[in-house]
Amino acid sequence: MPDRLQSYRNQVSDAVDAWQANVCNPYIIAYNTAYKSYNDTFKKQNDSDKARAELFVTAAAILPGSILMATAATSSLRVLANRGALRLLAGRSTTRALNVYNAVAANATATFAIGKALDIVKDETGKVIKDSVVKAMSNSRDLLATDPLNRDKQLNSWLINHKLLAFEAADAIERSGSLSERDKARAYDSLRAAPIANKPKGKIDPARLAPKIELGFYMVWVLDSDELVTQTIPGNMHSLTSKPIDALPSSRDYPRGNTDPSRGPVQWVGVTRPGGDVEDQIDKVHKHVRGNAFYAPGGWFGKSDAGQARLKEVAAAERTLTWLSDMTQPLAPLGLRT
Amino acid sequence: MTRALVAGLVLLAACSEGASQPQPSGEALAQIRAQVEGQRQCAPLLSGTWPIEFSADALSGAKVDALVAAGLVRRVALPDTGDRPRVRIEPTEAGKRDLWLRRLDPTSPAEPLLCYGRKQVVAVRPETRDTGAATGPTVKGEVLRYDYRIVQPPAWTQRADIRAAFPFLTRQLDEMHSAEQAATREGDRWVLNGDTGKDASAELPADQGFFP
Repeated sequence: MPDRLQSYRNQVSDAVDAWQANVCNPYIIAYNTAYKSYNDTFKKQNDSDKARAELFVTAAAILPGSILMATAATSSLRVLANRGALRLLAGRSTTRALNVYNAVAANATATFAIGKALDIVKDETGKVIKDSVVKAMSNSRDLLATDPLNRDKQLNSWLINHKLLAFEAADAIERSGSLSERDKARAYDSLRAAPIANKPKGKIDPARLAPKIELGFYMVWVLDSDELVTQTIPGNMHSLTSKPIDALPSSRDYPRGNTDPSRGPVQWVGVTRPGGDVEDQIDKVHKHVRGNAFYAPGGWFGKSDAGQARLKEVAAAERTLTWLSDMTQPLAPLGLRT
Repeated sequence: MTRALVAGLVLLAACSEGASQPQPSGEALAQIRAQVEGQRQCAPLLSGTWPIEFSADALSGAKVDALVAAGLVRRVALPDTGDRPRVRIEPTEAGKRDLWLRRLDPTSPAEPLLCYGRKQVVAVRPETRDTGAATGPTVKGEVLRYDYRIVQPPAWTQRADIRAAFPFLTRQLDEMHSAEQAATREGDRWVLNGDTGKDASAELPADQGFFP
């Protein structure tokens, strides 16, 4: 095996070890800690597999901490397909992270593993690499949305798929009979510059990330707690239907309700509160992470029950999720933020 | 003359910045000290995962050499698997004194951190900011910030090779720091939000630590 290929494989192997040890493993520690506290707070035994998968993909997308987590989340966002508002926030967040290494317009899997090598390598060699990209994409699709008890194994598999893609691309370039030596050197430069061939700068601190992920879970719960209630028979409070709201509170499309029966069915936005113990924990974690409580103090009879007060909570949850996303966005391809 | 001028400027600054704010009492300082004074300050040691095992190439170089030369860790070759040689980093008896294997939860895997001193709170100062709830109106209130130094560094932190390999140590040990964590009022006490255990990961950017 030519020295160049072996040297590249060594570089990628060492970088993958570092991504695993300093990003994936600490991220899983933070996630598991947050998930346990969240479940204890709601006194739940366990979520369904689907709910757990949604939480993990949501955390990876909205609080990525690194381009690796954002890229991995991108290939599993389908699990949030039926949750319009959350999907929108997750999509915004991953797009920002992918922008950090110019992977938005490109295929994120390919860019993470082989950089822009395909811009240089065309013809038969390019086709071989494209086939490897398709294989890696297929093997990575929805990977974070499966096997909820083995998050570390999922991330490891995701990394191994990308490492194999990088190896196959290097092998194809090395073997190519059509590429000039100069183009091979340029293609290798691109491979060596890809994120997977370079160690992340530092490590994720799970102690800082875990409370942010836990807060994110509560904010998602609050964000999901709104629904549009419709009175199907005018004046009859027993004839109500409700449906989830897919728009974000900040959106112009967010329903405003209708109190005038002459203008159509009476509608309002109903918001469910999580209950005293959970609200106390939300306040505690919000205070830890942001320095102030989430819920405004109640009066003699507890929190205001006015619809406006509840709507403010949903709107604040969206703002907090956006803030959490801002705080955990990597600012450079190999940079980490918790 | 100069001294009088400086004193006047200090007084002016105090009037413009803090005239409306009560100065923190000695009791506030004592309350903060009771929560974090003497807390060990630790930074990631080579990896986010324990045990520390990488290729021999990845663990070669001046940074790991400096930790070995300081008598904190040693390299142990792992059995040959036919692939590239791999190495495990093990702490020496001396290194174990400053090693912290942190577990966020008793069931969590351990993460290795190396502790390089203890927190000494030097001063506290009030800061006015919005302390209202996220869902309520803006409410101006007071939080307490504190400044600290890292003291009682182990002898190995003074070695030239260690300082050269890990420049962040010089800033950490020689400079005063303003804590990120702020204290909020709970009844008549100032309570810090965040890590108040006997050991803590230092407030460092993610790329700083004892990395290879």
